[in-house]
Amino acid sequence: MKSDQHPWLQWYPGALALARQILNGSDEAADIVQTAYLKSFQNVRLPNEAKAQRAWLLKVVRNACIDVLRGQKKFADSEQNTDVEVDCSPEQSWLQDSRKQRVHQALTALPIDMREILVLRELNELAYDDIAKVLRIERGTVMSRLHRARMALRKKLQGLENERGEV
Amino acid sequence: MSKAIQCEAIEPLLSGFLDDELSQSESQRVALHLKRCEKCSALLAELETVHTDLKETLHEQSGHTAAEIEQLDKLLNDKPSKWLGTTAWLLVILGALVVGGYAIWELGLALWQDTSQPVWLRASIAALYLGFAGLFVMVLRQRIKSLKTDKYRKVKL
Repeated sequence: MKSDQHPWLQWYPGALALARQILNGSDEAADIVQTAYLKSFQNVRLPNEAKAQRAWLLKVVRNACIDVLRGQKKFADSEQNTDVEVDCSPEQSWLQDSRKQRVHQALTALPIDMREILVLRELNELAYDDIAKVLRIERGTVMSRLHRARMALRKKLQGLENERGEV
Repeated sequence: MSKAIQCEAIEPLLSGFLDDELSQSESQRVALHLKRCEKCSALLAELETVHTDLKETLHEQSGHTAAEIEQLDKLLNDKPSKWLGTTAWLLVILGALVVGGYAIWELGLALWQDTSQPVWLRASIAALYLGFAGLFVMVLRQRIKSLKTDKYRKVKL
C-alpha cells in the first residue's frame, strides 16, 4: 500500500471479501465496492472517526449487496446455498493447499448471515461493537451468532475431514 | 451446579473469550471453568484453530488486484469532479431559491396591492407574510437564547 493513497483504500480487501461472501463470489462484488466508496464520499454526514467510517463503508457495501440479492430474490431462501458446489476459478489456484481448500468449502456451505459475520470478524477484524453497527443487531446477538457460525464451520470441517478419511 | 450445566453456560461465551470481547467478570468465569474442564478447553483450542485457518484462507482468497485499488484511488482523488458536483448543486439550489422566492413575493405583493381582489385573499396574503416573519423571529430568538445558555457549547468531543 502506497502512503499517498487514500486512507480508506486499506479497507478495500476486507470490503471486497465481504461483498464476495454475501454475493457468493459474484463478479459484481468489485463494482459494488467501488460504488460504495464513491457513494460514501458524497455523504455529508460522514463520521469523523476512522473506526466509525470503516463500519459505515462496510454497511454501505452490505446494503448494496443485499439490494442485489433482493433483485435476484435469493436472499429469502439462503438455504439453497447449502449444497453449492465450490467453483474453482483460475484465480483460486491457492486451493492446492488442501486444508485451506476444505476451510473454503466449509465456508461456502454456510448460510449468508454466518458467512458475512465471519468475514467481518476474521478478515476485517472488527470489534463486536462495530459488527453490531454494520449488521444493525445487538452486541449480544453478534457474540451468539458469531459463535454459532464458528461452531457450524467447525462441524462442516469435521464432516469434510471425515469424508476425506474414508476415501 | 453440575458440570454439564456449567459447560452449557460457558460454551456460548467461548467465542467472545477467544476474541477478548467479554466483560472482566465473564472472562474470569470462563477462565476458571477452563482450568477445570478439559472438554471446554479442547473446544476452545479447536475454535482457535478454525479461527486462524479461516483468517489465513480469507486473506489469501480476497483476490483483488493492485490495479483495482489504483483505479479506485484515482476515482476518489478526482478532486475536480467532486468540486464541480458540489458547486453545480449549490448553484442549482441557490438559483431555485432566489427565483422561487422572488416569484412568490411578486405574486403575493401584486395580489395584495390589487384592490380589485377580494378582501379575504388580500388578508390571507398579509397573514402569510406576517406568519413567516413571526416564525423567523421565533427561531432567531430561540437560537440566540440557546447560544447564551448552552453550557456544553465549548465542550469539544
